[in-house]
Amino acid sequence: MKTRIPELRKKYRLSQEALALEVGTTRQTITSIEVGKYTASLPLAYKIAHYFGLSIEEVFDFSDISFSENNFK
Amino acid sequence: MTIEEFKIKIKIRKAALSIFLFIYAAINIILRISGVYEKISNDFEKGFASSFSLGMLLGLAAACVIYVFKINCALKDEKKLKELCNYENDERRAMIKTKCGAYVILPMSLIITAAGITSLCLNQTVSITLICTAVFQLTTCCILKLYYSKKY
Repeated sequence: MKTRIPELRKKYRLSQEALALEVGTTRQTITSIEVGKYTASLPLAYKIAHYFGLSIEEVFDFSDISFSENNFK
Repeated sequence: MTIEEFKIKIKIRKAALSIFLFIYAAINIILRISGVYEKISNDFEKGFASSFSLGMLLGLAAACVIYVFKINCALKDEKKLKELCNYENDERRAMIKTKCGAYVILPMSLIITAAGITSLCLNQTVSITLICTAVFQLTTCCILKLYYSKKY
């Protein structure tokens, strides 16, 4: 999953370690999320998005997730 | 988990480890003074049993001392405490531990090793098999942990 975390970190001049400390995780987890190796859980995604003052959809790119046509609208 | 809750948790952990270290040191001193080690070391099997258990307990005690030192450092510094709290409650680490079976393998290996040490006095083949099983389990767990750490 693609994220805007590196871009947002650059914008706010924030290191991975500082972001990890603020959102309650480790630097390694932030690295894995940034490179797309690991998909963050909903609470962690919310914490990251909330920290930057954005919604989850604005930080994480869900375009590669396919939905079935029969889903509720 | 909040920082305050974590602080209480690690204080309890520190107290438990300190009690273990105190009991370990006391038992060791008593056994040394009473000369039990010298008596059982004459026989090869019993000598192996005492040496192995002594080495293992020494390793556990060293690990406890390092961990108590780490807890002390964290309790003095707020940033280190938060880092330790984040590290222990990290979801990626928890997922890797679940995938490599560390939550089951570590206590099981400890029990198997304890059984191996106990059976050293009864049957050497059984005890060495048990100890080898524990070592194999731990090695497999370490390899899987390395693999999943690279993967995620």
